[in-house]
Amino acid sequence: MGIKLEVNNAAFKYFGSKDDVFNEISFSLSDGDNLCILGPNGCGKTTLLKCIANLLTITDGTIVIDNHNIGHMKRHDIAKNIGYIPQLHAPTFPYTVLDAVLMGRTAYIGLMSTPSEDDIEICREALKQLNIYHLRERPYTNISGGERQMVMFARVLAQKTSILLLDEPTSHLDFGNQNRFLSILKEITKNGLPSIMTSHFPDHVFLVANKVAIMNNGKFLAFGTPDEVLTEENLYNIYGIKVKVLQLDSGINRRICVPID
Amino acid sequence: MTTQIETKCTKNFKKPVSFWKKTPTITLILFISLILLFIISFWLGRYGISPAQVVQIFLSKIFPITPTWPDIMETVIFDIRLPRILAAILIGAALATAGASFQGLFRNPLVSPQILGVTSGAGFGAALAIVISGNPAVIQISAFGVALLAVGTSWLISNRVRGNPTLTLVLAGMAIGALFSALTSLMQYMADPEDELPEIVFWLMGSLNSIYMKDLIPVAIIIIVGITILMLIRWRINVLSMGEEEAKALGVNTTQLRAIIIVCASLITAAAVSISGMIGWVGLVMPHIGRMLVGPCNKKLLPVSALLGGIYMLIIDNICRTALSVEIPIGILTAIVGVPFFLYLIRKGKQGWV
Repeated sequence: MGIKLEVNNAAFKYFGSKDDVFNEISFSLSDGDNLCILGPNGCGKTTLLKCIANLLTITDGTIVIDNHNIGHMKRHDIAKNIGYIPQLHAPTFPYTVLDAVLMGRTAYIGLMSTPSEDDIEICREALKQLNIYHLRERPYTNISGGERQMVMFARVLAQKTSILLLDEPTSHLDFGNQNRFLSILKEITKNGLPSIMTSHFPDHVFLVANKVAIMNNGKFLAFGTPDEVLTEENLYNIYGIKVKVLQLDSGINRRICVPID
Repeated sequence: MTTQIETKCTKNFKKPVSFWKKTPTITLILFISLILLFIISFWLGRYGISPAQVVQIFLSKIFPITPTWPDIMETVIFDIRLPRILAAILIGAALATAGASFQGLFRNPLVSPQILGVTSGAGFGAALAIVISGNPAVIQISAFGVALLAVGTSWLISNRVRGNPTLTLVLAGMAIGALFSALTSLMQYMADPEDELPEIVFWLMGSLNSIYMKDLIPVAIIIIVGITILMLIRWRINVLSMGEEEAKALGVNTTQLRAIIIVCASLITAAAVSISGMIGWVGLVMPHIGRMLVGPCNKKLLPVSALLGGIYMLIIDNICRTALSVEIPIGILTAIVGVPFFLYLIRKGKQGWV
C-alpha cells in the first residue's frame, strides 16, 4: 500500500492576517484509507481541505501527492489527482445532470475542445455506479438535495482522481441518505480510492473511517484509529459536552457516541 | 452496488424532452432562416428592386450577363445594402455571443455585454470625437478605443482588489460605466446644440445607416476572430459558471480562461458598437431565448445565441429602414419590438430554463 498523499508541517494564513488558520499539520494517506477530520465549527477543517486541493496556497510546509509537490503542479494535473466536493454548491444555470457530471472531465479535455464520446461514456458509467443514471436528462437544479449530492459524487468519480476530498458531504442529507451516502463512500474507498472527509458526527467516523483526526484551533489534537482517538475524554475536550462511547454488540459490532448532558 | 439515494418527490417528475436530440434541428432551422432572411433583405428598401433583378445582379458577378438594369441598382445592392446587411448580422451575432459568454462568466443571466463599461466607454469616445473632429472614421476609432480603455480600467482595478474576482470585476465595471456615462453627459452639455448635440444623440440611439464596406472590414475581422475564439472555448464556460473554486478544483486555469473571455467578448462588443452606436437588449435577451430553445449548456447555447442575434438584428434593421419614410434609430426598435416578444416568451416558456 503506497503512500498517496503526504502533508508535512503545513500552515496557512489569509493574506494580511496575523494568525494562522492552521499550522503544524502533518499526516499521510495510503490506498484504502478513509480519514475523517472532526472538529468544532471554525477550527480550520474546510481551509485544510482547500489547501490540499490547492484552491488556497499553504504558507508553510509541503503537500506532496504521488511524489509531486502540488505547489509546482499545473491546475489540470492537480485535478487529475485530487477530486474535491465542496460543502455548499450554489447552482446557477440548470444544466442537465449529464452535463454537470461531464464537467468532471475538464482536466482531460483540451482548452479548445468539447467532451468526446469516451468522456460521455465515462460519465454514464459513473452515473450507473451511483444508481442515478435515470436522472441524466433532468436539470440538476430540479432534483432533491440528496440526488444533487450524488451528482457531485458522480462528477468527482468521472474525474478519475487518486484522492477524494469531501467537505461535510452529509450535511445537507436526511438521515437515510446520510447513511446511504456513507456506505457508498466506504465501498469506493475500500476499492482503492483514499478519501478525506470532514464531519460533525463522531458516529460517521465509526461507520466509514479507518483514520480520524481531531482538529481544534488550527491543530491536530489527536490522530489515529477511531477506537484510539474517539474517547470520551477527547470528545469532551473538543465539543465541551459529556459523551458516552458505547460498544454495540448483537451482530452490529460498532461503537456509537451518545451525548449525556 | 445496490444503495440508492432517492426521495419521493422525484418519482412523479415528468421527464422533459431531451434537448440534446433536438439541438441539431434547431441550429439548422436557425441557420436556414438566417440565409433566407439574408437573401430577402436585399429586395427590401426605399429604392425598389425586384427579387428577380437582385438574383440577376448577383449572378452577373459570376456569369457574364448583359446588364438590363440601371447602374444605380448595382450601387444600391453592393455599396449600400450589402454592407448594411452584413453589419446587422455581425453586430447581432457579436452582441449575443458576448452576452452569453459574460452571463456564464459572471454566473448571472441578468448580465449584458456592457457589464464592464464597454458601451459607456464607446459612447464617450464617440461623443468626444464628434465634438473634437466630426470625421466618421475618427468617431469609430475613438469609440472603439475608449470602449477598450473602459474595460481595461475595470479589469486593472479589479486585479488590484483582493477578494472574489468576478464580484470585484462587476463592481469596477459599474463604477467605470457610471464615470463614462457622466463624461458623455458632459460632452453633450459642451457640444454645439446646432449640429454636434443632435449627432451625439443619434449616435447614442444607434444606427446602421451609414456603414460602408471600408469601415466594415476591420470590424468584421475583429468580430469573426473574437466569436471564433469564444466558440472554441465555449464548453469551458460551463465549468467556469460553477464558480471560481469549483472550476479550479475541476482543473480550469480560471485566471487564463476569464482573461480570454473578457478580452474576446469586450473586443467584439467594442467593435460592434463602434459602428452601430449604442444597441442594448440584444446581448441580454438573445441568450435567454437561446436557453429556452436548447437549454443552458454553452456548447449548444453559444452558436444558437449568435444565430439568433444575427437574425434578430437583421429583422430589426429591415424594419428600421423600411417602416417609415425616415430611418428609425435601431437602438430604439431593438427594445420596442423585443420587449413584448420577450415578455410573451417568459410567460409561455419553460421555467428554470430562463
